[in-house]
Amino acid sequence: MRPMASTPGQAGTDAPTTRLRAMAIMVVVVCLFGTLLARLWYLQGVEAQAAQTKIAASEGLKTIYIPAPRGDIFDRNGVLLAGNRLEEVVTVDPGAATAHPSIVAELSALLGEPTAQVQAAIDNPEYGPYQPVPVATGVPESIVLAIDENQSLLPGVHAAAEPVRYYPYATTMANIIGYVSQITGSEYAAVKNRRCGGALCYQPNSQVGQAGIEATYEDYLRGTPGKEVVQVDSQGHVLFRVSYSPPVPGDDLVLSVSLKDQQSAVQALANGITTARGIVDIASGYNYRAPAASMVAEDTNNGQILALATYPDYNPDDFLGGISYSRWKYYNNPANHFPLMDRAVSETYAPGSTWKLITATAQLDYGLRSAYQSYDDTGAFVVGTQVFHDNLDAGLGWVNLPMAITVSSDSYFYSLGYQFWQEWASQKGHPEYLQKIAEQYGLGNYSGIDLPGEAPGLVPSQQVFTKEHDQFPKDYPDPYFYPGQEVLEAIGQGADEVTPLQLVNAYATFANGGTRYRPQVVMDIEKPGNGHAPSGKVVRAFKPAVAGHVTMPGASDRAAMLQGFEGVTANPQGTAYSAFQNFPLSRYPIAGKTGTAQAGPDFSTVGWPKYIQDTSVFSSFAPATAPRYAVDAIFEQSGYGSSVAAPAVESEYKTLLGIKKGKG
Amino acid sequence: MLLTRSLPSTSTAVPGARRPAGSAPWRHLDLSLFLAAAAISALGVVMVYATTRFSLAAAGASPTGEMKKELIFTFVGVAAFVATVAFDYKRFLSWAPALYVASLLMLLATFAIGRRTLGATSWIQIGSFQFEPSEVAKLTLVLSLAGLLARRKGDLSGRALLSVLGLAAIPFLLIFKQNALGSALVLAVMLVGMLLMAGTKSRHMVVLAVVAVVGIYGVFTSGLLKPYQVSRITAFITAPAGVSPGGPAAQSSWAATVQYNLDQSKTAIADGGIYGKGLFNGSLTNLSYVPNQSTDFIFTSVAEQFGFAGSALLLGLFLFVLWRTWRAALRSRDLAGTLICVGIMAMITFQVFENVGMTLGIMPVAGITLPFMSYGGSSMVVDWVAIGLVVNVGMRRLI
Repeated sequence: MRPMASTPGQAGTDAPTTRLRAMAIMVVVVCLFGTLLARLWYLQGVEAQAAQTKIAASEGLKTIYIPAPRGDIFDRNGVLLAGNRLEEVVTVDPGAATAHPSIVAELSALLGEPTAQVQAAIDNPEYGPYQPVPVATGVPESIVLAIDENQSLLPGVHAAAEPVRYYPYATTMANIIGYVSQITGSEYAAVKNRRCGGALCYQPNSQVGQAGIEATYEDYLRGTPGKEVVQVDSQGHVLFRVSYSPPVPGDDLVLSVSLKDQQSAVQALANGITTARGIVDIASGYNYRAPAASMVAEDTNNGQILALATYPDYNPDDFLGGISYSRWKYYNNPANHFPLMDRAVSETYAPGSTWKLITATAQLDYGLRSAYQSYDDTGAFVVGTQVFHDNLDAGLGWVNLPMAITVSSDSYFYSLGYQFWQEWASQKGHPEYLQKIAEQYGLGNYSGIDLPGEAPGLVPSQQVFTKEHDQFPKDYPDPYFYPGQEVLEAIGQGADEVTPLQLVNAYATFANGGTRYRPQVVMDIEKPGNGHAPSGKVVRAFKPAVAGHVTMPGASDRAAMLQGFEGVTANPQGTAYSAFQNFPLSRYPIAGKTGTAQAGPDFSTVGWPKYIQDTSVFSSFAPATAPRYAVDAIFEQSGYGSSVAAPAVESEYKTLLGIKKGKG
Repeated sequence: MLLTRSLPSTSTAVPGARRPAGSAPWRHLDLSLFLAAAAISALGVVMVYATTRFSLAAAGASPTGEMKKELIFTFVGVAAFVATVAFDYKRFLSWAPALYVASLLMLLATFAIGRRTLGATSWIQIGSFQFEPSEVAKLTLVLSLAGLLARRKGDLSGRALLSVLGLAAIPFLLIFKQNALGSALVLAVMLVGMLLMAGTKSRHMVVLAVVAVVGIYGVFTSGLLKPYQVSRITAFITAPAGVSPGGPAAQSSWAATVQYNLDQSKTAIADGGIYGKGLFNGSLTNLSYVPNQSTDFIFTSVAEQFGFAGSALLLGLFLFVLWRTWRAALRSRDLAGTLICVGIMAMITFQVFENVGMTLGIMPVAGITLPFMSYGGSSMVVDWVAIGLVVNVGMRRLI
C-alpha cells in the first residue's frame, strides 16, 4: 500500500471537482430531507384532522356489557316464584378456538357433544368479539374440575357459575310469571338504543321477559347492565381496563297472588276437566271434550288477583337457553289447545247466564221491571216469528227477579232484552242502557291488568255493529242491530264476549257495592333482597286503583239481586245447589251464578259432534254478606255450569276461606 | 486553528512531529456527533417502550422487556463505538480484505442456517442471539471499497472501476438472493456515493447510470423479483381495492398487508398533527395499530407522539449527524478516510430517506431500519460502529 497523503484535508478535497462533488452530495442530502419534511408537513399539518376523525371512529376501546342479575319474584306470602340459580357455564374466550383449534375436539370429548355442535356454539354470532362465548350450561362438577385441571389442553376455556333464571313452581305459575328467553332480532332492533344508566339496556344476546309479568315488569326486573370498557390492541387482545361499572341487580316483585290459592285453582281446573270428560253431552251423545279451562280469584275490595289459573299450562323452563323445535311445535299444535295462551285474560267466551248480573242491574236501575214483579216463564219467548227457548224448554212458571236468578229463567231475561231493544228503537229514555251498564261493569274493554295479551271482549250494540260493518263490510254485511240480538245478549249469548278476568271483576264490583278496581297481579316492587325472601324495602307500591263505578240500584233492589245469587247455592231450586251441598254456607254464604253458554257450530272441530259443546261457567263472590273474594271458572266444551265450573269454584273457596276439603 | 494557536507553546517540539501528545486524537473527537447519535438512540429506546409495552403486557410478558433489550443493544453499540474509535482506521483498512471475506462467508452461511423474517432469509441464530450478516457487510464493504479506491486515487481506469464494481457486486447479489432487497440497495447507494467521491470520470458515471436503469428495468420485467417484492415496491403507489384494515382480507395477500401497514402508518403520522399527542398518548402507537412499529415503522411513533415539531427535530438530528460526517469527510487526512465517511453518509442518508419516506408513503416498502432507532441489535451495533469510523477519521485528521 502506498503512503497516504499527510496534509490534513488534502487527500479528497484538493481538487475542485472533488469539492464540487462533495457539495453536490450535501445538496442531494439536504434536498432529500427537504422532501421528507414537506411530506411530513402535508400529513401532519393538512391531513391531521381527517386522520384523527378516522381514528376516533375506529378500533381502540371496546365495551363489554355484563348482564345484571334479574329481580326475584315472590308471592304475597314471600314464597319465591322466580329467582336466579347459579349454573356452571363453560365459556370459550374469543379467538381461543382460532388460535388453538384443538380445543374444539377436546371440548367435544369432554362434553360428549359432536364437534360440529361445539364449533357452532363457539361461532355463535350473537356474542361480541370480546365476550366469552358459552358452549355448555349446567355442566356437572366433574367437567368443571376437568377444565380447571387441564388448562394447558384447553387454553381460553373456562368454567364459571352464572345466574340462570329459575322457576320453582314452573307450570303452576307459568301463565302469570311468564318466562325469559333470548331477545329476538326484531325486539332487539326496537330497543337497541335504549339506555340504562350509562350502559345500553340490551345486547343481541340479552335475556328478556317474553310473557307474563316477566314481560310487563321487564324494566324493573332487568336491572342495569354492568359496563366494562377495555382498551384492546389491533389483534383484539385486552390490554387494560379503562372503566368499570358493576351491574345493578333488578328489583324484586311481590305478587298479590298466593301460591297456595294458585295451586288450589290449578288443581280445581284439572279435577274439573276430568269430571267434564266423564260426562255425556245429552245433545250429541258424546262425552264433553273439556279441552281447556281457566279460573280467577280476586280480592273484591282492592282488585288484587289471588289466583289466575289456566289449563292447559306450559313449562317456562322449556324456554331457558332457547326452546327446542319439538317443544315449540308441541306448544303451537292446535291438538294441544295452545298451552302458551293464558285463557284467563286472553280468551273471550259467551258468559251465558252469569251475564244476568248485568241485565238485572240495568233493569232495576232503569226501572224496566221491579224486583218483585212476577213474570210467567212459559219455557220460550217469541219475538215476531223467532222463538227463543229456555234450557230444555222447561217452563218455570211465575218468577220474580230473585227467583229468576236462582233458577236461571231465560224467558224472564229474554223479555227484558227485548224491552231494552224497544226502548232503544223507540228512542225513548237512555239509548242502549243495557250496554251502558255492561260497560260500567268493565265488559267490552280492557281491564288494565298488569299482564300482557289481554282481550277486550265485546258488548254488542248498534254502535258496535255499525263500527264492525264500516270496518269489515265483508265479514259483517248487515249493520243492523236486530231485536233478537239484544234478546240473546240479555242472557249472555249471541255476540257477548267476556274474558274470565272481566267476568270475575264484574262480580267483585257488584260485591263491593259498585266500585270497579283495576285488577292487579303485582302488589309492590322492592329493592333486591337475599334471593330467598323479599327485602321489604318498597320501591313502588301499587295502591288499589279504581277503574270505574257501576250505577247500583237502590239498597232493597240490590238486596233482591243478592237474594237471588245466594239462592243459586243455598236454595234447593238453585242451579248450583248440588255443587255447594258440602259447603258451610251458613258460615260462608256464597253468592253466585251458573252459566251454560252455547258456542255454536265449528267445522274445524276434530271428530264428532261438529259443533263446539257448551261452555260451563260459574261466577261468584263470598262471603255474600261481607264479600272478600270473587271467584269464577270457565270450562270450554264441558256442559252445564252447575256440573263442572261450580264445583271447581267451590273447591277454590275452601282454600281461600281455609275450610278443610271434603268437609261440610 | 487549534494547531496554529498551540504552535508558540510547542515551538520546542521536534519539527515535523505533528503529534503533540499521546492522547491528542481524543482532543479532536467530535463529541457533538456522538451526542447527536446518542440522543437518537435514547429516543429510540423510549419509542421501543411506547410501542411494545401494551402488547407485551397483553401477552403476559414484562412490558419493559423489549425496551431493556434495546437498551442493552445501545450499550453494546456504544461500546463498539469506543472500540472503533480507539484504533486508527488505517488498521481497519488493512484488515479490510479479511473482513470482506469473512462477511461473504457469513452471508453464504445464512443460506444454510438462516432464519426467515418477513420474507427475507437474512438472519443467523447464534445461541439466543440472532444477527444479520447483511448489516455487517455494509461496514466491510465500506472499508474494502475505501481501501481499494484510495489506492487508485484520482485515476480510476475502466478496468479498475470494473474490479471495484465486482467487489461490490458479490455481497450485493448474495444479499439480494436473501430477498433482503432493501439492504442490497443500501450497498448500491454506498457504492455510488463512494465512486463519486473517488473521482470516477463523468462518462463512467453516465454509463453506470444507464446500466443501472436498464438493470432495474430488467429485474422488474424478467421475473427475478418475487411478486411480494414487486407488490411491496409498488404498494406506495397503488392501493389494492377492497382492503379492510385488520380484517381477514388484509392478511390474505402480501400486497394487502403492506397496504394496510402503509395506511396505518400514514394515519398514525397524521394523527400526531403539529405538536403530537404527547409521550405515551398516541392511540395507534400505543396500541400496536401500526404493524412492525418497533422496528421498520418506528418513525410513526415519534410522529404520532411528538407531531411535526418532534419529527422535524429528529430529522434535524439525522441531518446534523450527516453534516458532521460530511465535514469529517472533507477534513480527512486522506482519501480513504474521506471515502469511509462518504460511504457511511450515503448509508445513513439512504436508510433515513427510504425508511422515513416509506412511513410517509412516498417510498416503497423495503425492510430497511431507521438508524439508531429501529429495534434490533445488529443494526444498532453496526450504526454505532459506522459513527465510530466517522469520528475515528475526524479525530485523526491531524495525524
